[in-house]
Amino acid sequence: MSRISTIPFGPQHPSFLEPLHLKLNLEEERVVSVELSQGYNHRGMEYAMEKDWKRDAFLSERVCGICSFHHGTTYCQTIEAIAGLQVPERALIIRTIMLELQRITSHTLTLGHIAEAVGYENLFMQFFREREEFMRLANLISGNRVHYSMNWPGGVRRDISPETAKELENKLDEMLPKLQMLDGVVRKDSTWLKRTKGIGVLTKEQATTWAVVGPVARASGIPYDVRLSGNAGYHLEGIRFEPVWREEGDCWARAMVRMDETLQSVDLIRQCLGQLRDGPLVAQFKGHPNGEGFSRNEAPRGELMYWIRAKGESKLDRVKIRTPAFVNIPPLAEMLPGCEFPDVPVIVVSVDPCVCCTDR
Amino acid sequence: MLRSTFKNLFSHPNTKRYPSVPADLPQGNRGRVEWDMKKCIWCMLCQKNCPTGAIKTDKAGKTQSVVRNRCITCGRCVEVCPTQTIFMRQQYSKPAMEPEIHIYGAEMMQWEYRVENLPILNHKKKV
Amino acid sequence: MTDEAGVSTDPNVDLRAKLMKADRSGPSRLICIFPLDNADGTLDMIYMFQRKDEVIQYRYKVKEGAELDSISDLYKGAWNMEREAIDMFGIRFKGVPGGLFLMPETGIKAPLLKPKVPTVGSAQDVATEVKKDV
Repeated sequence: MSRISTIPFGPQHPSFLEPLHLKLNLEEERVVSVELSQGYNHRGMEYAMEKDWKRDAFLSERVCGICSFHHGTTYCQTIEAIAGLQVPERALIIRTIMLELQRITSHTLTLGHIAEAVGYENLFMQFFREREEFMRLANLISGNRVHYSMNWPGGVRRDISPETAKELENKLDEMLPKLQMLDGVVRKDSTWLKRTKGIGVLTKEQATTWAVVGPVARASGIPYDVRLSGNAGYHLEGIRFEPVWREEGDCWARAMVRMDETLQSVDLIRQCLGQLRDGPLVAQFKGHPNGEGFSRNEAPRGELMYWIRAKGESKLDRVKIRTPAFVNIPPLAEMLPGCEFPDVPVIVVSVDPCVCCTDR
Repeated sequence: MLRSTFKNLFSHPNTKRYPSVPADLPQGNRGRVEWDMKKCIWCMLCQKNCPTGAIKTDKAGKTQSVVRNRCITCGRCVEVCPTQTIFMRQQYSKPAMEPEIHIYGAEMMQWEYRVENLPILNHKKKV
Repeated sequence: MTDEAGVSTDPNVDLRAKLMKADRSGPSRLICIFPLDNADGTLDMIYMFQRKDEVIQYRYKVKEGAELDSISDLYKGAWNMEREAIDMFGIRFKGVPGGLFLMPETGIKAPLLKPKVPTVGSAQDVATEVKKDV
């Protein structure tokens, strides 16, 4: 008769970036069941955002550090939906360029992190070396490496000059062959395939019941992308793309979806730069918003939704943030049982848990 | 992968030896905020629009003070000021041993400031 | 976005009927479940779903401390969202233990309820707080 031993995969662990607690029940190196516990990073953001709606343009960016521009843009889109503002076209295109730049930095970080969990440190260093050039580009355009702070309800606050646009295009031409070399490694390298293929499978029916979003859903056969529903400049003429999706549902499929989306983002930035026309940057707005509204956007990890109720003064009534990592982490209770113990970090990191977003 | 590994063995490292080599900060980098006190008209718009409450204007004593730890270099005060008194530099603030307040006064020279520390708040003991 | 339910019907009966329609006109994907608090002490429960290309919201008015049916047998993803609602607002669901933000065995009920007296938080409050002590 074999015994079951319990191992805590605790809040502090070398393979996680953020605190998340798993209690694994093992039977001789195979996982039998798992219990999740979260809440180590709770800061009370939804309550703090009720104090002042103008300050929230900066506070909503600081909910997450890696998808910060998406949070800021979705907050501004919700206030614009409540107040009925029409954002000028140049602001929409600038927002789209910065959103895609943040997506590239986020996906390269996740892929490097999966490589580190697998044990392939050389690939981890190469991903971070390419990522550094994109962080310098973001510093050139917006002034900061991580929190861009370019949004204001009604438009954007900083402009892209023609010299900056030229330098952005040259840098993209220089970086594309390097990203394609890394794409070849992720697709075909035999060590990588042995550690990630067939591990942590999530079928299409399981993905639908657990309401999974983002690259995790697109790797399991659900081709849905929120960018197609029309916001932040993706609906303008001249910007075309198709969602990237696969059917296998294992860790390799999730990594491949992210790698393909990185190359697609480079192409999207080029299309946007071709569409830049002159025009105003911000739509003026006086007074305070009044009413209810919601807005969605595609963060690197999935679909992000903000729901706000405002009552016509500088305080808001209720702010609800539904982040993608909140919905993507619970299916771990179905993916982990049946796998071996050394595969646990690889599966948890391939789902891309952003615990700051989950706990707010 | 093997080819790029061998190429990396014989090339320069990608990192720089900061701080002996100066950091390559681009134009328009968000550094720290400074006041030119000759142009200030005491409208107090910078204090009202600061998201973190870092700026405090003293109209009677003719000083502007900023708590450096609370400033997030967002640039709202630079946008809102009607006479372009506030200027954002490229260099960052230097680290210090304790939280600092920088006070700009009307009688001082241009861009000069005085340094004070944050007062220690007394927490009332619960009875 | 369409807002389909009447605001005063009982959610236990009405929501299940809408979700289990035999023809394919029901919703296909769960987006979120969350409560709102009104000034008069009642709560609004909002269920957001997606049906093909549009987003639909179902809204129900409930009293504080009421007990509702859980829909986690139809949508497993609703389990975590209901646990968060229990922690933040003190509402109850049949068959769902509270405690998303702490381990379920601690026994503290609704640790994240909003305090009745608002705490200091806005930027102007912070500016005057520094002034008092100087």
